[in-house]
Amino acid sequence: VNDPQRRGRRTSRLVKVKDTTAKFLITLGGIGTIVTVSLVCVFLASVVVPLFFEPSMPRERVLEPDFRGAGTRALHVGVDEYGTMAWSFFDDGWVRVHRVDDGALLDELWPFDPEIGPPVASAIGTGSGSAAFGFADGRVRLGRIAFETEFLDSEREPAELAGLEIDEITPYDGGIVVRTPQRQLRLQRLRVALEEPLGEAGAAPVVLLDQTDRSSSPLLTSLTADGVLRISQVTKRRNILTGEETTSLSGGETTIDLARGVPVRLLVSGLGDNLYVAWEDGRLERYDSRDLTRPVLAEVVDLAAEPGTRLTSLDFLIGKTSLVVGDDQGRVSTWFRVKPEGAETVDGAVLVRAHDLPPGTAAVTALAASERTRMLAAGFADGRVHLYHVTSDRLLASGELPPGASTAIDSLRVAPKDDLLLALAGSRMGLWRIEAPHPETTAATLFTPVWYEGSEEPAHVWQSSSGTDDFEPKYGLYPLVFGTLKATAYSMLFGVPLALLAAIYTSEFLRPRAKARIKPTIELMAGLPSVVLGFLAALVIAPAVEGIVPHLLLTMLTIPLTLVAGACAWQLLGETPRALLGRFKLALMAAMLPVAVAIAWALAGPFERLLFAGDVKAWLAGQIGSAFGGWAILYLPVAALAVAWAMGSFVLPRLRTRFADMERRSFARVDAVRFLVGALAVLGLAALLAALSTALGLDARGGVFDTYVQRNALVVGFIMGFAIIPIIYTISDDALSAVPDHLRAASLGAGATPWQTATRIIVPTAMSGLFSAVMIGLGRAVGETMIVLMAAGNTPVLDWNIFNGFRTLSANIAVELPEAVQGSTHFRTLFLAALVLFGMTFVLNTVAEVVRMRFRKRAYQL
Amino acid sequence: MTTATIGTGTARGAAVASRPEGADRPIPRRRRARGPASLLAAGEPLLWLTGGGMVICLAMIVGLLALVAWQGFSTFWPAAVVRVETLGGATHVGEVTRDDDYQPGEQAFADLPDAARDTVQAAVAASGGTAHRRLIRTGNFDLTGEHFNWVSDFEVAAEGRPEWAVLFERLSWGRFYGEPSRFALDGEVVASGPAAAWERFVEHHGDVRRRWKERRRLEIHDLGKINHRLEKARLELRDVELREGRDSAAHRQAAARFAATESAIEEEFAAVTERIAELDRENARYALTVETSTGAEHELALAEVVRAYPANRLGPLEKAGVYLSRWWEFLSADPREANSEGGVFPAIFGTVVMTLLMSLAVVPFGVVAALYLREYAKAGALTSAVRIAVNNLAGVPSIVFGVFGLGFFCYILGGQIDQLFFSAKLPSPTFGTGGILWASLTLALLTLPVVIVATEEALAAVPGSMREGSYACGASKWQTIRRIVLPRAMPGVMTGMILAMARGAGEVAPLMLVGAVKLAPELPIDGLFPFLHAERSFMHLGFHIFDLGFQSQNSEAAKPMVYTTTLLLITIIALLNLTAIALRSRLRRRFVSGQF
Repeated sequence: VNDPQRRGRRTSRLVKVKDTTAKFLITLGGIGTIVTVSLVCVFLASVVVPLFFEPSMPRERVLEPDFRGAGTRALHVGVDEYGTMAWSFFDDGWVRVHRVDDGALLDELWPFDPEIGPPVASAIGTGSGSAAFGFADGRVRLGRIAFETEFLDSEREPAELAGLEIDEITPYDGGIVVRTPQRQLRLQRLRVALEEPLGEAGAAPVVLLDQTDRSSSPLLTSLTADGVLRISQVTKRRNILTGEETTSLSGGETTIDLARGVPVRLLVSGLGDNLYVAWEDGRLERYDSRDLTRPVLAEVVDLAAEPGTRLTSLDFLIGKTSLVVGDDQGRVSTWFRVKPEGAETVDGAVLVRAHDLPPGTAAVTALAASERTRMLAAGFADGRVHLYHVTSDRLLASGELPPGASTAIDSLRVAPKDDLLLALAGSRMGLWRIEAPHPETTAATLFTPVWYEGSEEPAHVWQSSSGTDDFEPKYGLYPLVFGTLKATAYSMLFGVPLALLAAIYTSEFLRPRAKARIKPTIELMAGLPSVVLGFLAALVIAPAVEGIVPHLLLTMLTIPLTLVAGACAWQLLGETPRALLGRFKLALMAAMLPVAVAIAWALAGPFERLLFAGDVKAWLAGQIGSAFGGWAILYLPVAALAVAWAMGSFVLPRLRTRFADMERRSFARVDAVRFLVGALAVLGLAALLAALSTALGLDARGGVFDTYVQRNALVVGFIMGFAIIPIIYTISDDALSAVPDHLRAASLGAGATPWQTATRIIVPTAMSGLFSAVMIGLGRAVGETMIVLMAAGNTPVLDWNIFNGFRTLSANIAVELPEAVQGSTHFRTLFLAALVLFGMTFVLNTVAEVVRMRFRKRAYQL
Repeated sequence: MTTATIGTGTARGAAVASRPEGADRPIPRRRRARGPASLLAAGEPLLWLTGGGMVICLAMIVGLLALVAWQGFSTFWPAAVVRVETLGGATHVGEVTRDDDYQPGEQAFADLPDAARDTVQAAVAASGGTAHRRLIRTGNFDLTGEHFNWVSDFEVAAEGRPEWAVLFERLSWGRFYGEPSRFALDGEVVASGPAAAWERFVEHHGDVRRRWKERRRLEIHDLGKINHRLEKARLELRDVELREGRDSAAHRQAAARFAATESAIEEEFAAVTERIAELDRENARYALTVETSTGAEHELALAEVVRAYPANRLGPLEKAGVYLSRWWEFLSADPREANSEGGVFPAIFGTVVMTLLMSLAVVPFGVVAALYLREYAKAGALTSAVRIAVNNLAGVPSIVFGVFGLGFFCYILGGQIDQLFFSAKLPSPTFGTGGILWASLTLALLTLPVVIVATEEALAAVPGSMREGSYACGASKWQTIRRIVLPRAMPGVMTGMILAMARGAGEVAPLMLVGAVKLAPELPIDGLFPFLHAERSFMHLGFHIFDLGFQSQNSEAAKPMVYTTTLLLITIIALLNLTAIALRSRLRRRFVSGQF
C-alpha cells in the first residue's frame, strides 16, 4: 500500500481529455441555448427590418438619344418589363424605340395616314398599351402600342446571334435579343397596331380624348372643338360568313360650355362610370356616365389649392379611380370619390381631396402612376423627379437631371416591375433605379388610421388579399392587435376569477388527500391540446350557446347567488348536523351548481321576455326592445360590488354591535335575511341604474352588446378561459402553498379562523406570486392560436361586442403566412405580427419572472 | 389579543379589517366567541364561492372529457336502421344521428297534405311552438345528392325497422342504405330475394376485398417503386445536363442510359398494370343489386364495398364485431372520402415519427444545457441570462416558433440545402418547404425549456454528498457526472422527454406552417432508400382534427371522425402525461431516500 510508485500514479490522460472535452462541449451547449433563443428574436427582426429601409432612387445615367426631329415634344414614354428598351411618342406622330443602356435608336415608325396628318389628341394606356388617337378631321383611331416578346426557335438560331452569352443584349430586327439563363433567345419588339378610323370625316376636330379597357368592352370618350362631349362603347362584330370585322360606336353625348376656355384634360374612369373634364384654372366637371347614352353633370369641383394657381397635370392612379392633380406651384394631391350619407349629387358621391403629397419646387409637368402599386412619379419643370407612395403620403425618393439645355420633364414612366424610372426632358433621357421594395409600409401605416381609396375617412384596416389585380393590400396591424386584446380580455374575465378562487380553496381548505386527486385533474386541463378545445368551441359550444344565451347570462347570476344561499343554509344548521355533514361540505357545494343551472333554465323564459322582449337575438340586432335589458346586465356586477361594499362598511359593524349577544343560530338567521336583502338590493340597484341610463337615451347595444354572430368572443372567452385556468391555477396554488407554514400556524394559533388566515395572511403574502401567475396566464392567452382560429370567426373588426368575432395576430399568421410570398411586404408584415406577439409575451413573462423572484426572496425571508 | 378582537373583522374586505375595533372595549365574555363574530369570521359565503370556483373548474374538465369519451366511443357502434315514411309521401331509410327541439316555420308544414296540416299545426302550437326532430343519415349521396335528412316527429306517418335494411360502407360517395334484391355473377342473376342475395354477397365479398387489397398494394407499392426509379433516372440526367451542359458528350451518354432504363422500366410497368387489370376483371364479375327506400334499384360492385351489415338483424356480439372492426380500420387504414371516413393510420404514424425525431433533437440539447446550468456554470450574469432565455422560450407563443421555423428552417436552411444538393429538382423545392424534419426541429425548440427544467430538477435532486463521495474516490468531474449524477437523474430526464413529447404531440399551430398537411401520399418512413424521408410533409393527428372540424366539406359526416381522432389524441397525451407523473413521483421517492 505504501508503494511510492502507486501513490504517485497520475490520472490517465484519457480521463483528462474526456473531462476537458465534456466541459467544453457542455459549456458550448449551454451557451448555445442563449444563442438559439436570441436567434429566434434576431431572425424575426432581420426579416422585419427591411420593411423600414429608406427607399432610394440613385440616378443610373442621363442619355442624349437620337431623337431626329428637334423641336418636338414627347407625349408618352414607355419601358419594357426587363428595363432594356424604351419607346417614345412625339407630338409630330413619330414613335421611336431606343436602347436604354446607350440610347441607340432601334426603330422608328410613323403609323398614321399621311393624308390626314399626325393626331391632334392622343390617349395611351399605361399598362395595357391600348391607345386612341384623334385627328383634325374629327375621326378617331383605336390601337395598341406595346412590347411583344417572342422566343426564337433554338434549332434555327441566326448565325450572328450564336455567340451571345447569357444575359448579353444585342439589337436585332428593330428590337432587342437577350440570351436567357435557360439559353433561349428572347426577342422583344415594339408592335404598333392601329385599327381603321371611326366616325365620319369632316366633323369638328378632336380636342381631347381618352379611352379605357373595361372587361366587357372598351370605352372611348372625346371632346370636339364644337364643345360636344361624347362617350361611346366600342363594339366589334365579326361576320361569320366573310370573317370581316366591323367596329361600331354607340353611346351618348352632352355639351360643354367652351366660353370658359378650352378644357386641358379629359379622363374616363376605369369602369367608365365617370368622366372628368378639367380646365387650366382648376375647374373640374365630373359627369356621371353610368348610363352611357345620357352622361349627366354630377358635380363641379375646384381642384386649385388656392386661387390663381394653374392646373398643369392631371392623371389617374392605378385602377383609374383616384385622380392625381399637379399644379404650377409644384403641389401634388390625390382625389377620389366617396359616398357620404346625404351627398347631394346625382350618384350620391363626392370627390374629396384625400392626400397632399410633399410638393416640389417648380410646376408639375408630368405624372406617371405605377402599374402594380400605388407608387406615383412626378416630374417638375426644374428637372426634378419625385417618387411618391400615395396611400402612405410619402415622398419615397427624389432625383434630378443635371443642369443642361432642357430641364422641364416632358414625359415620365415607372417601369412595369417598379424598378426603373425613366424621364424625357427635351432631348435628354434620364434613368433612375428605384429601390423601394416596401413603399407602402411605415410605422404610421401599420399602427395609425390610413385613408384608403374609396373610404370616407382614414381607418384601421387589415385586408391583405382580394380578387382583383388593382386591389391595394391594407396592412393595418391595429385591428389584429385589438382582436388579440379582446380575446385576452374576455378570456381573462372568465378564467382568472375561477382559477384564483379554485387555487385559494385548494391550497387552504382542501384536505391533503383530496388535493392529491383534484390538483392533477385540473392540471390535466393544461395537457389538452388547444386544437381539441378549438374544435369543441367551434363545433359543439358555439352552436349550443346560440340557443341558450339568456340561460347562460342568467347562470352567471344564479351560480354565485345559489352558492351564497347554500352557505346561509349551512350556517342555519345546528352544531350536530354540521359536524355530521362536515365531510360532505364540498359535495354540498358541488350540488349547488346543478341547482343554479336548474333555476337559470327555469327562469330563462321570463328573463328573456322581461329584458330582451322575448327574443334575445332580435334584441341584440336592435330590432326590438329597449336598452333597459342590456344596461341591467352591465350594471349587475357594479351593483353587486357597491352593495357588498355598503354591507361591509355600514351594515356589518352595526349588526355586530346590535346583535352582539345573540346566539349563533339566531344570528345565522339574521345573516340569511341580510343576504336576501343584499341580493334584492343588487337587483334593485341594477334596475334603477339601467332605467336611468335608458331614460337618458343611452343604449348598450353598439358597445359590448351588438348583433349576434355564432362564433363570438363569449365562446372564445369561455374556452380560452378554460385553457388558461390550469396554468394560473397551478402557479397560484404553488405560490399559496409556498407561504411558510409557521405564518399559518401563528395566525391560527392566535385564534383566527382559516378564512381569516387565508384572506389576511396567506393571500397578501403570496400576492406577488398570484400576480405573476396572472401575468403568465395573460401571456398564454395572448399567443393562443388554434382556439381563436377555429372559434373566433376571424373577421378583423374593431368592436368590443361580446357577441361578435375578431381576428387575432396569431390566427392571422396561421391563416395567411403559408400563402404569403417569401420576401414580400405581406410576408414581412406577418413576421412583424409575430415579432409583436413575441414582444408582448416577452414583456409579460419578464414582468412575471421579476415579480416571482421578488416573491421567492420575500418568502425565504419570512 | 382575544379571539373576539380577531373575530370582529368582517369577511368583506381589508378596509373594515384595518379599523381599530375592540381596543377600547371591555374584554368580552367567552360566550361571544360563539356569537355572530365567529360566524362572520368563518367567512362561510365567500368560502362557498371559492369552493364553487374549484368545483366549476373540475366540472368543466370532467364534462369535457366525458363528452369526448362518450362521443368518441359511441361513434362506431352500429345503430339500428330505421325506415320513416312521412305524411308528405317521402321515405327515408337510415340511421338516426342526433335529435333536437326547434321552432318550425311556415315552410316546415308546406309538404304536409292539407288534411293533416291543421291538426299538426295546432299540436305544435299547443306545445309552445316547438317540435322535436331527428337527423337521419340517409346516405345514397350519388342518387339523392344528400347525406342527411331532418325528419320532424309531426310529419311521420309510419316508422319501422326493416329486417333486411343493409348498410354498405363504400370507397366513395359515402354510405349506402338499401335492401339487397339480386346477386349477379358475370351478369347472370344467381340469387334473388334479400336473404339469398345477402348470403351470396357474404360468400364472395371476402375474396373480392382480398383481390382489391392486392390490387391496391400493386398500385401503391410496386408502381410507386417503379415511378421512383424512373424519377431518379430522370434526375440523374438533369444533373448531368446542369453540370456538363446540354450537348456535351457526357450528356449524350447519360441520355442513352436514361432511354435504356426507361424502356426496361416500361416493361415492368406493363407487367404490373396487366396484373392489375386481371384483378379488376375478376372483381368486376360480382355485383349486388340493392333496392333503395324509393324503390329504385342500384347495382353495387363488390370491390367498392368496404363493409356491409344488415343492421337490424345483428345480435349484440355481431354488433361488437362491427364495432371492433371499425376501430381496427380507424387505427390501421388510410383515410378515404376526404378524410371523413376510413382510418387515421398515416396521421398516427406521422405524429409518432415527428415526436420521436423531435425527442432525438431536444433531449441531448436540453440535457447538455441543464448540465451546464447545474454542474458547470458559475452563478453569475451568464447563468441568469440563460435562465431568462429559457423562461422566455417557455412563454413564447407556439405560432411564433412556427413563423421562425418557416422562415429560418424551411426557407433559409432548406433553400441552401436545395441549392447545394438538390439543384436538379429546382425550382420545385425538396427541403425548401415544410417537412417532417423542419417540423421536428421547430417543436424541439418549442419543447426545449420543458426538458431543461425537468432535467435541472432531477440534477438538483441528486444529493451533493454523492458527488463529494465520488470526488473523494478520485473520480474526475466528467466521471462523476457520467457514472453517479446522470444515472440517478435519468428518471428526471425521461420525465422531461415524455412531457416534451406530450406537448409536441398536441401542438398544431406551428405545424400548420412547417409541414403538416391534410393528406400526405407517402409516409415519412418507407421501404425505399434512404428509408427516412425527412423532407416529406406528413399527416398529424392534431392537424387532422383541425382539418376535419374546420375545413371539411361535409362537416356533419366528418364529426364522428373528429371525435374519435380527438379521443385518440387525448388518450395518447394523457398516457404520456401519466407516465411522466409516475416517473416524477419515483424520482421524488429516490430523492427522499437518497438523503444520507
